[in-house]
Amino acid sequence: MIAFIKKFFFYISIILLISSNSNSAESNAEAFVLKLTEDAKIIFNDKSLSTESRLKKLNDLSAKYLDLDALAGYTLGDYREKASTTEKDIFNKLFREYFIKNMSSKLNDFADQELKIVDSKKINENNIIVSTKIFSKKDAQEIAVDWRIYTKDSKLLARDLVVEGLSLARTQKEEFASIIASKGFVGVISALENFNKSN
Amino acid sequence: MKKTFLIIAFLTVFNSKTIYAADLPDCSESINRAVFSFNMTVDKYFFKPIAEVYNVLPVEIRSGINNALLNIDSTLSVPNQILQGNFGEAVISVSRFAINSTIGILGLFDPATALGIEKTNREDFGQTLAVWGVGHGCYAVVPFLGPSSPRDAAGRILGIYGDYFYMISAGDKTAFGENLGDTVYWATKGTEIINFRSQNIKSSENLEKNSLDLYSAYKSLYLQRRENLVKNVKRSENQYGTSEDEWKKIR
Repeated sequence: MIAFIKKFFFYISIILLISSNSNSAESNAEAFVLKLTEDAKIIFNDKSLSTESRLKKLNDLSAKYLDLDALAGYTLGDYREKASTTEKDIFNKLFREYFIKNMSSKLNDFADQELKIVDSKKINENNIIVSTKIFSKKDAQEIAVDWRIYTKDSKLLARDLVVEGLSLARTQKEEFASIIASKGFVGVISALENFNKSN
Repeated sequence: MKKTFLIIAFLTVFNSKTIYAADLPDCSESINRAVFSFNMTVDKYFFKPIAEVYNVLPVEIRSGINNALLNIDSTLSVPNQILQGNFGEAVISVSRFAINSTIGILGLFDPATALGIEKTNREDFGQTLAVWGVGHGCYAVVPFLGPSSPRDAAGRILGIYGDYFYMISAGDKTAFGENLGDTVYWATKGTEIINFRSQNIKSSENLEKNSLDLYSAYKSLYLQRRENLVKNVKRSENQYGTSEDEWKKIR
């Protein structure tokens, strides 16, 4: 009987340990999102920054918090398998610049809004979805934003934003797929170069 | 009647087809792109300026109008919730409509939510056709209305004649012994468009500024939105399951 009770408590402890680790991963992801948005807000609310300094700071922010190489790979879709290493390198470099300039204008609109964590859920071994709500007092709007957080070797990186159920990564992927279908990979490179030059 | 009910129940239970953007053929892309450009011009010179003026209204007024429109919209959701076999949601929608139309003064306020009766999923006939297993068909951009498909366009037409609000405001059957007239119906629909547009000014400006292929971006967003509506996505566990395969390839 005593052996049975010992065994019972042993298994219960193991279950509790596993579930607390899992909850801790989710709490870490929530804290990560809060820190990311706080750091981003500081950049966007600093009106003294020149465009160049702002882009430089955003570049540092993205290196710290975002998995841009993974995002670049995802947005390439099926072409990812066909692309040569050189093509991938050129694409990743251009994509990084495009993304930062794109993010700069996108997030600027959210700078004065409040973010609240709703909950988080580990959807598989390496991915946690952190659900948040962004409130805009001015527009009386509440926007649901989910953050895809990738965990690897205890490091956290954001891979996608899903705004009201619409994935930014998927939208970008389908834009690239359309350009590749009509103009080939060269068309994507050219579109990225043109965007980066004119912004 | 019994036979119809059984067919609906069968289709609802056994159809679990998921729609992927890549699966949707763009059969007349050049025509669609031309209509898309036309729509963007109409939006630039007509809908967007009106939406900007509308946004000048105080938040409380816009919020009340939004509530009233959502309340009217639920008259379309109820028959579709029944057709999709979501009888529980239909009962909740009817309760919300009754409370918000009376205590909530024609839906301007939302006392139902305050009483703990949460909003149900918005449903239309396009979604019902999807739940019954009808595919999108070819992607199409409709003049003035934007991205659509034969299935959703059919749903829109059914939505006019199967909408209780149409019946009481513009149709032959009347709830008050007298028809309210077409003007009420179409004015409400027009306000719906402006209300929707006013809520998306910033995001559409961003999309226009940062998109490398705006047409494809709108197509993707339309398909994602319809997919979410059909699957009644509210929480992440429903949404992220299908997209994981692609992410798993990325290390």
